[in-house]
Amino acid sequence: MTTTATTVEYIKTDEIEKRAADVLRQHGLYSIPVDPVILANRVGIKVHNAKFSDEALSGMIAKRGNAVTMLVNQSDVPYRKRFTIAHELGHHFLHLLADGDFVDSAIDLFRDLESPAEAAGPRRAEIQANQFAAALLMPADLVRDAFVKCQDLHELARLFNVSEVAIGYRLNRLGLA
Amino acid sequence: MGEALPIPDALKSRIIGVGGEVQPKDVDVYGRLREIEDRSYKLRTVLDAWERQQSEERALRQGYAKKILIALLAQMGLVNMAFFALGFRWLSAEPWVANTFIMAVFGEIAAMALVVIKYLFPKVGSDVLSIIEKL
Repeated sequence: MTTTATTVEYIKTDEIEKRAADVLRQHGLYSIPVDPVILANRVGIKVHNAKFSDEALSGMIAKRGNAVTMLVNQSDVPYRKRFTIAHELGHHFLHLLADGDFVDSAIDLFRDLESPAEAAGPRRAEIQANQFAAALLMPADLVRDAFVKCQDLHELARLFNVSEVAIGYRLNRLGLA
Repeated sequence: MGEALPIPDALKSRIIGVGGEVQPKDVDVYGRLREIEDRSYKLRTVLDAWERQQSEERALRQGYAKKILIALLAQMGLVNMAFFALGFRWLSAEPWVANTFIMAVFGEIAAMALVVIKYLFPKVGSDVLSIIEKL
């Protein structure tokens, strides 16, 4: 992960959840399954496939003025691309208030808890983007509603169009499993 | 691959090439699965209907075949009895009448056999295959 963004302010997880839900509501996408490509297009970002020099890279986002470029690794499987796009949207909504860019590797994408050592470091932005991505693809209230009706992990994964690992992780984070 | 996007100089060294725009369907994991399941469901429905139709037709043909077979056997029994009755002179008929009767019955048997072969066992149609290809 590299970033040109300087200081990343601390944002509570609940606040990130709220911001993700607000973004979805503002763009009329607060229903499952959430499509991050449509959301990106609605905020004026075109997402492109790309071949990176390092295959471990999942995606990148760069902002220069009003121009925002988002690229995802063309070799990644669809659910990984979905998560990468949601993650880059997290950078867009949380961190790219001014010009900057984020380059993300696959290793970073599932980290969503901040350790004390990373509290002020550049990984904070990645962790926040991961939390935003999870909240965007699996909004807490919608996950709870769905979980009441169905506890089958496979079916929930289908409903939210995410991997079973991702929904399992989300249920765990929300204290449902 | 052509770079049509504004990519900052700092990132260019990390990008070998930029491809097409990502569309919602490209990241719809279960959409593809649903599509496959829908196609599979349609295929199963067509095959089930075809199997049912084949079973019903087979039962119908069996019914007809049995009736025709009984009629043929009765016909053959009758003509044989007539033949022996004429031979032992239990019956009397003009030779041309007896010849015509026996020939007519065998002709009838041959015609019935033709009907059975031609209409009760038609060639297997390729309709179901063309429907499957369209799915």
